[in-house]
Amino acid sequence: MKNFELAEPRTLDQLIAYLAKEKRRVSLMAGGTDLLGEIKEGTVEPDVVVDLRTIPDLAYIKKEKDAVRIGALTTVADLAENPVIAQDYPVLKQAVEVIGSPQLRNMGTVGGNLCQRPRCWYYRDVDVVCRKKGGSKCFAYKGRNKYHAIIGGGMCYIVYPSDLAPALIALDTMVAISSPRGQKTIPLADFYALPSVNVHKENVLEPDEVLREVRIPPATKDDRSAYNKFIERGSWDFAVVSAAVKGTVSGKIFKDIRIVLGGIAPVPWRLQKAEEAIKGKKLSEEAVRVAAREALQDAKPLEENGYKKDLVEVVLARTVMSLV
Amino acid sequence: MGRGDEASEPLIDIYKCPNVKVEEFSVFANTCASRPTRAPGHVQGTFALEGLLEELAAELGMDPLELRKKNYTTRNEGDSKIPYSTKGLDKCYELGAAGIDWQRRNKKPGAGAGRKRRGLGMATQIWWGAGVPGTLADLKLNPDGSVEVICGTQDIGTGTLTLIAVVAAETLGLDPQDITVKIGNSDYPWAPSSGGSQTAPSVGPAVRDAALKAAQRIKEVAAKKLNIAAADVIIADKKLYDKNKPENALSFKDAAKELRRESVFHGERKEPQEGFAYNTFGAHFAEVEVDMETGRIEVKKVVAVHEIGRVLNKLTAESQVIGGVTQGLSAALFEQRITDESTGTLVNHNLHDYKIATAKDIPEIVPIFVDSFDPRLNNLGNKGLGEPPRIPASAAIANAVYNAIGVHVREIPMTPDKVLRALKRKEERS
Repeated sequence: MKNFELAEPRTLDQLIAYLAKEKRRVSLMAGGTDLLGEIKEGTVEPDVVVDLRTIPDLAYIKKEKDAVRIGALTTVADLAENPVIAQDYPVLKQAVEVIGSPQLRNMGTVGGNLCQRPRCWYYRDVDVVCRKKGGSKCFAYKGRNKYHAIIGGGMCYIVYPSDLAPALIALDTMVAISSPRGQKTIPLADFYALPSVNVHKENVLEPDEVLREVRIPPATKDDRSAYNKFIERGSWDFAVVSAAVKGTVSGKIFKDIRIVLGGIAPVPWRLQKAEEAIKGKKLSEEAVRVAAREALQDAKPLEENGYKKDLVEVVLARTVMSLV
Repeated sequence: MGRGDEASEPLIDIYKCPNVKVEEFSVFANTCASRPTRAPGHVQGTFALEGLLEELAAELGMDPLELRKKNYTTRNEGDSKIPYSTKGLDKCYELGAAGIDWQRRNKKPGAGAGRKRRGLGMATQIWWGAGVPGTLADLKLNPDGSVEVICGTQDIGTGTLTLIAVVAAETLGLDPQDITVKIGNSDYPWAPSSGGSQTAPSVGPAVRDAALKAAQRIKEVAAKKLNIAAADVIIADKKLYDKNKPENALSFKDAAKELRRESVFHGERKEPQEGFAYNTFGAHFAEVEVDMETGRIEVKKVVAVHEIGRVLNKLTAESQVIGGVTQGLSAALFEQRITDESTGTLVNHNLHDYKIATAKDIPEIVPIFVDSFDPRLNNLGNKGLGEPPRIPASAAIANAVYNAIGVHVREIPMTPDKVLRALKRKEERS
């Protein structure tokens, strides 16, 4: 492990000012559950680690008129226990409950979860210089790839591992970003970017930008939502396939629906074609499976991950049908 | 480099079959270092053999347990052809079948219906575990009545400290906590290494031998004090007393005081009687539920029955079995080394990517012992239990999956992708 400096800003302004002038390699640390593992294994070698926990007031869950606002440093465990989340956003509640383990949920934060790095075993291996780390090829493409992307790959076949991201995107969540240039708010769906945009990172954050808050639009009384995560064992694992579904239902028919999948692509994967096929129709499990199959027609599984297509059909069908 | 380590041994030994030929060869590969663990070779060999029998039984339209009973043998079918001194495998079958309610199984594999299907499977285990003659232990009896047992063995988490204390205490009429056990030092009397399921049947009898000698000595001292013959002295409940007149008694402490100095008794594990084969046996019965759409397997229950001669300590013995079944389940469903073929490196070299069972994956595990006694083997009649519970668990679970879904996955770990592939294979065949 390489030595690093520790920076402990006391206010958000101090942090922003620091990021404006610091030209060395900086890693922002919230709960540290992902970053510390990366540093120990040598996957990343920051010159400076900025501990965000020394900044007060970045952990909160506030229900306001226009949104439920969640501070980036709110722990996953606090989110899991919050009554507003449980009441208004079942998809989010169900997603946070299956993140990692109790220990990881106690330490991990909302911002950290949304900014975590991929779990690809080639990316994580310090001896492998893959395309994401400045090399010239994706080792998963012709290597061991049972957990890798079936769609959206190409340059790099990572899957985005977050459970929160699909759930929050299904809820049409916005994220607030601070930087020396001021504040901006963008949809979480636009926060993530495919490897073809920039293979070295998974989102659009610049080195001097900080994800500060997420804002979930208010729930309406016809809202229904659910999260379903398929893992190989009983707990403590990243999704092989997951499905976040949110919609409004009237008389067993979805008036509108958003479907976001985890575990199959380098970014949380919106399945718009399936949404169109499901909307306004009388549903059966088979109909949802067909919709999923057709929406994934462009998927190009690798040698070992074709089973994920089958799993998407099952997981999505079960999730959708649980809501009607 | 890794070696198969006699994976074919169970194929030769377990069943009565006059024409068995096995070939075994190791493949050397340019990959990471590996060594087999807990019951090397037998886990793999048993998985293959017991899976084969399960498929054979289905072909024959037979109860797989009946097929095994039909080919039962009471002598070693391998090189020696000599009879087993004790073989409680028939009893294991009986207790295991009752424990899992065997008649609930699908009479035809895959006969169930619905999205989630249940199945029952079983597998047989054979292993060594007779212990090592020549193992030594000293028992030191001090004039203050304290007792030390000294032996150059080790406790690798298997309960050696407990079993030594239990054997010495029971022989001397004391409680286990009255015994100070000293192990883990090569200056101490010789014991074999902690492997091969040999510690309990090696160390236990040596301790028993030393303790019997100590008991004899202190009985003689007490007899003099009580004015009776040594043969009439009973040693129990921290006392020595006249078997004809129990109130004529002396406390263990007071008797030890009469020795006036520390006394050391040397114990040794003796040779077993010749002309017999000494093995351990067991049978595991598993119940699983398989999600036919996702390929995910959930183990619901495992009944693990073992014949290891006399059980020295129930708590630690059951703990061994629960651990063995847990390992077998973990191997059956999750564990694998994934090697990148172009670089030869292991890609899943951490406990996130190398998946092991979590607490949530462990079902009800019911350990049962055929508590027998093998007087020809040693003075305690006990055999080893370190490896046996690891041997048939994966095979029993795989056979239960076969019973549930009607196709044998034939490979572990049975991860969802492989189960789905097996189901597709079955669909294409029909």
